[in-house]
Amino acid sequence: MSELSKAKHNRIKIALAGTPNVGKSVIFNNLTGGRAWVGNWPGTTVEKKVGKMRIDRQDAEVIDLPGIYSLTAYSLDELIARNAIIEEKPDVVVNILNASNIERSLYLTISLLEMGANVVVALNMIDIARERGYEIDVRKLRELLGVPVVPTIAIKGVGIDELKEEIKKACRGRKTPELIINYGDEVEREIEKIISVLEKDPALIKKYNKRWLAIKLLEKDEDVIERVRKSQVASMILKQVEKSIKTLEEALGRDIEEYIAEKRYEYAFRISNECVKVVREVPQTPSDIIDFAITHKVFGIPIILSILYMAFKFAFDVATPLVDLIDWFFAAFLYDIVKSSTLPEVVKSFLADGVITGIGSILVFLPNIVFLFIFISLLEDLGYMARAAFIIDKIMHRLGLTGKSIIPLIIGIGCNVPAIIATRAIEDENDRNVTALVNPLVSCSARLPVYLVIAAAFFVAYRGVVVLSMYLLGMLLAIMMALLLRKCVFRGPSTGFIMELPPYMTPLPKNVLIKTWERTKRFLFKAGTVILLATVLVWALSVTGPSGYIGTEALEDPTLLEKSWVGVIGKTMQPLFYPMGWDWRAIAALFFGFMAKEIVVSTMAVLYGAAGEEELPKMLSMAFTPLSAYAYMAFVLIYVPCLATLAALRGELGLKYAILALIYEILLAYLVALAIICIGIPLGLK
Amino acid sequence: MKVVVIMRRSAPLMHIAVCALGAIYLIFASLMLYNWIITVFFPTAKLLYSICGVFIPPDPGSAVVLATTGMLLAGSVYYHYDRYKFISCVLVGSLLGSAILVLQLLTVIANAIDAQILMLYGEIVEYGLKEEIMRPDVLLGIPSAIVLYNSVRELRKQW
Repeated sequence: MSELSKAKHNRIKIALAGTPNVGKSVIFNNLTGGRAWVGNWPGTTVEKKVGKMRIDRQDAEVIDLPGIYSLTAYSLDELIARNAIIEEKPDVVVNILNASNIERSLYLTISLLEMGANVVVALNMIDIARERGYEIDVRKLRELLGVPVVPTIAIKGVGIDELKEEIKKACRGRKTPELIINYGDEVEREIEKIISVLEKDPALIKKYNKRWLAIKLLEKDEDVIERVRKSQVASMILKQVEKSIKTLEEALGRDIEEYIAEKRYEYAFRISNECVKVVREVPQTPSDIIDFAITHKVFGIPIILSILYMAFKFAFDVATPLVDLIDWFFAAFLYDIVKSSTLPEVVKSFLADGVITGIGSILVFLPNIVFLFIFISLLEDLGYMARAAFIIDKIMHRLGLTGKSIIPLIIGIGCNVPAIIATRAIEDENDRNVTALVNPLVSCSARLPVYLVIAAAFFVAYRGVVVLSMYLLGMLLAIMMALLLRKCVFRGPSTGFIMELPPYMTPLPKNVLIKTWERTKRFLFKAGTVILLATVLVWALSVTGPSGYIGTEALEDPTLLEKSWVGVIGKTMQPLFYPMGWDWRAIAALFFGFMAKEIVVSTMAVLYGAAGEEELPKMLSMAFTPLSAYAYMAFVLIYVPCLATLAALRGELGLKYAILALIYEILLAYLVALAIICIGIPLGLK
Repeated sequence: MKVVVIMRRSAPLMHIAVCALGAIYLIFASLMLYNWIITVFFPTAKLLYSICGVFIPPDPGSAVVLATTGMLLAGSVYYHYDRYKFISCVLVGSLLGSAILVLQLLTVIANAIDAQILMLYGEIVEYGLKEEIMRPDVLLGIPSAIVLYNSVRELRKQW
């Protein structure tokens, strides 16, 4: 049966593999017309993503794997990538190589070829290689690797059609010859011995390439050892492996894993040497020149602060007209239509005071969130985020924390849920747990509406700075908590952090818009589901109480509202927050904010009877002082992760740690809010 | 154009010009911070409202950007011995200076549109265009943009 007819029965699978930040997601989008997250920084893809493309009038499944340097099993992302290749046995593996750094990318290529994968190489970023003065002999590279090599500039769509053509050919049945690196007589002899034992289990060698399996066993790969343990002849195999390792380590006088890795690097170096010529000496690239100031030990942090401030200024000041337009639509247009309708009073109140006021109070911040995400996406695609991570890593390292935590922490600015999932890329379990546990302290976009309402009420002149201070406070607390958890709960040394700084690139509007939309979509989805439901719940609990139905008048009469269920909740919790001086309605809003932080605003809008973006700040200015409002913002920043974040924590770390996060965050939020009040009053702040 | 000529023909003169621009940035950043501290902690004390027609808003965020720009431009002279390091500091500094200029101009446009929208539904809006434009981030942004243009040209020439 030909490969294509076989594919008619089983869908064709194509996997994309490559080192971090090599452009896999861009190629994925080019092949599938999809919307995978594309970022000019390493670690954009943490989970495998699946898309579709058409090959010879057939649907093919394209899998975008996380960026990896090798096929070892040191981190979860490497394991995800490797398992996808082993288990799903893709018909073709498109290996994307960084043309400006072939030698480093080739290690993975060699590993894939050793594994017996049907490889097509995409030599990406060929333009950057040329800019750096490299000329690559593509024909030679094709010859040495024995696989098709297609030069591409994925971001501009150059070479994509040729790549598709090669993928089609590979799917039609062309097979890549197995790469056999000669590891030296002694090692080869032991490999043969292991293979002869492996051959005793036909099921095992049918599933895996036997030479690859033997080499992995010699490399003491724990995941492979676990797989072999399931074999009927496991004890024989492992005995032989143990014997071979002992023999080789005695003969070579060194660790066999190191030796094999070195041989592969030598091979990669040889190929790179034969294919890459330096045609022009380039002392420093523009990226290197710019990086001197950007990553400077003195200027680096002020530059980060300046850029963050500009992000907030762009998001708040420039988006103002759109905010007012949406506000007018909800607070004046829709609200008035409903209120002046002939519907029954209860329905009118439900729609106007519940749904429109609640949802409107959240959606009014949509332009701010969109503008902020546009700015962040621009920074990511430009390559600045990787630099920011590099600068903060220096501080983290001094504190004994891993710099790898930085990437999930920065992702957390958008949403804590993908950020917690992104911790999978951290090899060390302690580091991974700590990073996931402190991630909810990073201020996500859900908290932004709360800051904006309070800033509009008390800090109009410098709302950008006040909101920025919340983000910085979140980061600072995350670092401090990480340090504390590392010292007290998850003890042990921290792993190092090596991150390749990508070259600066001009952001593509399409990519920026896709990312902005993907991020905004979550916010809109929440507004239409959780927030809508919570708003309805708050409205229902406001017009009813222990004595039964109170009536919609409760929303306009504070004395009646106090007798509602919301009033009971707020009043019961009020003594706890006595030192902060918060109104019971604000406390009740915190209670509902547990579902999603945006609900704090929609609840306040309902409880304070504020129909528009302009009205709520006015109401709040009567209920808070600037100091107590600032403490409230800090409390919202820190207290309990939202339900989705808790679920992510439970999924990644287990129930025990999810509860730990819940408890420590409530305590920390209370202490920080109290500290703000206690420090602010003696300073003369009110 | 004069600055361009200076930068190309006379390196020491350019160093002085960039350093002076950086120093002015730093002075205005300090004044903005001073005004902010007065507003927050000493509300009864007198603000330094303007100097030579330049309004000094009590805006700590802009002050940080201005201070960083000033540090980079003035600090670039420290690296006068190394062409690349010098260009790097000047380029990033002037880029920040120009970026805050563009942002402030966008803010001015946004505020003008916003005022129109609010007036449409009957609100009376007080809007001071002069105060929004005669700010140090806007005025200093203009020479910064010229320096940026020139630094990019320098970088391209090297490349």
